[in-house]
Order: sequence, then C-alpha cells, then structure tokens
Amino acid sequence: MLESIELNGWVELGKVNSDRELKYLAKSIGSIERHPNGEEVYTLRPKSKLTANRNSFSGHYGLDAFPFHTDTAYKAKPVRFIILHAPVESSSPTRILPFKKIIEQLSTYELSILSRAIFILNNKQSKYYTSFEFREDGKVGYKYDPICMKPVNNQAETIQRKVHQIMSIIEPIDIFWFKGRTVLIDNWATLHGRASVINESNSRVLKRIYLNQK
Amino acid sequence: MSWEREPLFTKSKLYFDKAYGEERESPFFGLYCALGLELLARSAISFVSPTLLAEPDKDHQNLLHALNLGSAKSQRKSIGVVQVLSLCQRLIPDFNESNFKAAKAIINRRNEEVHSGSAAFEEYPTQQWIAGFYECCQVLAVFQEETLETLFGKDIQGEAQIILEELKDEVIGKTKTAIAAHKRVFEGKSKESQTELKENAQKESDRLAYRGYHRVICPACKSTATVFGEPYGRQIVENNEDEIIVKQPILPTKFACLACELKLTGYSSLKAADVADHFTRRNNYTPEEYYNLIHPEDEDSITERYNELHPPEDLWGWNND
Repeated sequence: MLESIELNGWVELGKVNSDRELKYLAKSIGSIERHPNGEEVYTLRPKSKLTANRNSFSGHYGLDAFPFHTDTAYKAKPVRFIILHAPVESSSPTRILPFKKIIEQLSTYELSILSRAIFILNNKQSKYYTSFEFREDGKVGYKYDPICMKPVNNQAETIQRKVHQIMSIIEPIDIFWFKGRTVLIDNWATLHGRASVINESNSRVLKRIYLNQK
Repeated sequence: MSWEREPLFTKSKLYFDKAYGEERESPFFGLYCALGLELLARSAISFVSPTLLAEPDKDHQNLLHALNLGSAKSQRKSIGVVQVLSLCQRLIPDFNESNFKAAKAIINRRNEEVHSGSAAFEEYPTQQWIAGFYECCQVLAVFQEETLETLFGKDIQGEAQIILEELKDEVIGKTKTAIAAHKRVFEGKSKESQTELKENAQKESDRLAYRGYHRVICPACKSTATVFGEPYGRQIVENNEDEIIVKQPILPTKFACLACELKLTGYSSLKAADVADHFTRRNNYTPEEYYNLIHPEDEDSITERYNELHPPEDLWGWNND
C-alpha cells in the first residue's frame, strides 16, 4: 500500500460498509485528526453558495466544480492523509492531481525558485507565512489552496501562475464513487478537487477522515 | 500569532530574501539578516516544541496560544531573543558557545539599530560577522531538517558554503600550527623532563576525570590530556536500588594538556585536532543527595531546612549592637 501511495499519491482501500469499519481501517494506518466539531468521521454534502459557510469551498463555488487544493492548507502543517469513502453511489467524481506531475512540467528556473515561493495564509484566527514546498517529519511536501494562499514574493507569483497553467492542461485522475468505495489520498503529494455536482445535490454523500502519521 | 515551526522558518526565508536584495555593505543587509536569524532561531526551538517559545505566565495564556488554544482577546507574549539563543545552546548539540556569541552580537546590533538613532550596522562591517552568521544559520537549519539551500536558495547557499569552507580551513590551519609549535617545543626538552611532564599530566588528568573532565591523547605530545565541555540534550536518569545515576551528554569545547601546555578552545578547533568526540558525564548520587532528603532523626537538618523555608521572626528583639 505504501509503495502505491508513494508512486501515485493515492491508493484504493477496498470496500467499507460502515463508519465503524472506516474508523477501524483508518486507525490501522495513522492517527485520526478530528474535525473541529469533534467528529472523527466528517460527512461531506454538496451545498449551494447561499447555504454554505462563507469561508469554505462551497461558500465560494457552491455546486460548481471545486478547484484543486490541499486540504487543511490553512494549517502550518496540513494533515498528512485523507480517507474518502462513499456510502452511496455518486456520478460527481473527486479529481486527483499528483504534485509530481506539476513538478515535472516546471523549467529549471522554476524548480530553482520553488522553495522560495512564499505565500501568506489567511485563516480565521490569523495570517501567517507559508511555503509552497515544505519539509516536515523528514519528508518534502507541497501545499496549495487558491482561496486562502496569496503570493507574497515574485517567486510565489511565478509559481502560482505556472501551477494554474499546468492544472488547466494536465488530465487529472477521476475517482468515480460507487457504494462502499474507499480511497486514501496523500495530502502532501497531491491536489484534489471535485467535479461540479449536477442533479444529485441532495444525494451525494462522502465520508472523510483526516489522518496523521502515527 | 503563529509560533509553529513552518511559518517561522518561512518568514525567516522571506527576510533573508529581503536582505539579499540589498547591497552586501548596506546597513539594511545586516538588519534583515539579523531579523531573519532571530526567526530562524525561533523556528529551531519550535521544532522541539512551539510551547518553548511561550513566555511563562501564571494563567498559562501564552502556553495556550502556543498550543493554538488561546483566546483571541488575551495578550500573547513570547520569550526574548536572548532566552531563545540560550535554549538553542541547550537543545541543539552543534550550537556551541561561539555560535551563541556570534548570533548574540548580530542581534545586539539589530537592537541598537531599532532602539536608537545610531547607524548600528554601518559600524559593524559585513565581513566582521558574515562567517559566524552562516555558521549559525547552518546549524539552526540542519537541526530542523532543513538545509542552507532550502533557507537561502542555491546561489546564496553556494556563497555560504565557500565562506564556511574558508572558515573551516582557517580553524584547521590555526589549530595545526598550534599543535606543531607545541610539539616542537616539547620535543626540544630533555627525555627526563618529557617523562616527568607526561607522568604529571597523567596524574592530573586522572584527578580531573573524577571532576567531569574527559581524558584524551594530546595531538602534540601524546601525553594524557583533558577536554571539558558544555552539557547539551536530555539527561538520562537511572534509578537503581541504592543509587541514582545521572548521565549528561557533553559537547567538548575546551582542551588542555598539562605536559606541552597546548590549549584549544571551541568545538571546531577541537574537531580539527581530532579530540572532539562527544562524551557522557556520569554522576552517582545517593537517593538522599539526589532528592535532597533529610533523615527523620536528623533534627538539626530539619530545623535548618524549616528555618530556610520559614525565616524566624526576631522575637527577642535582641542584638549585639
């Protein structure tokens, strides 16, 4: 499993039938980081711009497609892994874009400024600086969120421009949700987004668990 | 306010970028380097735990902020920079006394620059501090699993590396010269005198070994000499049935040979002389000594301790005046 996630940035975990099974599986991989509301398993449902929290992707994009982003990029150290699980079928896929594919497209100059690309991060509590490329727990990771990360220096502006350009060209991996499907995503090695939700705004449900390394 | 490592490290990169956008001889280069260095030192401490950056307060408000649990209404205060540097010396094995002094000197200039009307960095030319600055940056970056390249970018890292190599060569050169000079003088002495000096050095080193010094072979005269150093890292405490053993890792920073009188100071110099192996100081205590216990029948000690804690009032109103 680790080899596969290292290679692709995500891995199939097989079918799961309940939250209990999902938590059991998650705990065998890492330590669960609870949602601020205290839940270990958070339920994601599509929301219109009007009903969603303004500081959320739904608040910005409603039922339209969500842009590629890192989950919890607003944290100094984003969560390491995300488990997504579909308790019901959905035709609106989750889209995954490995950072590896973006890095491959960068020029020598862009690669040389990658670690110098500094953004300001605006979360509810405070604003602070963060890097596109970071090192934590002996590993190089990448983070990007087009809503809460704004470039501070020229290097960040260059990288942001190029990343947006690459994101519009590269074909992402689409995860279509059938009942029980469960995947593990490396949040430091991939960006993910959601295709627009059409005709199933009330029925699309995904369960999400944030995981850190044990 | 974020005291987490990554934002602090990233902000130090931003200040260094700003510094390197200035002329090297400009006072703003020094000022931005000093600001970046402080942030870098703070990020290194945060690598151990962001809570170490919180100024202790009775309500733990600062500590709660360090844990991202503070209230938006409450004040938040971090520890001062000198305390940050002292913690670096205590927690980072390679951050030695000379790094502490170099960092403190640069930060003192920063204080003078921002707290007074004097042109602090005009009077402190870059060449006087840049090598020590790069040494500090290297140690602080490596400790938090970063590199000079991730800190400064490839070009500046190259420049820093050249200066650090020169510094290393300079230290190696000076150390080798000192060793050669002491060797020459020692070998110029009579065989009897050499033997006597060696024997005395052996006796003195054996005596010092019981006082926390570490015995090594002198690189100049091959007598038994001693190194001494600074404690770093965590103490290991072993609780045995009738004794407590405290093991403290030591970073060697001072070398002295009684026979040929060679003296070396600073970890880099000791490393150049090949006498810088880290060692562990071991102290054995009785449980009474370690926990400062008093025997229940030792009334004098009990009274003495009681009086220390509750100084008696001068009820007699008597004195010898």
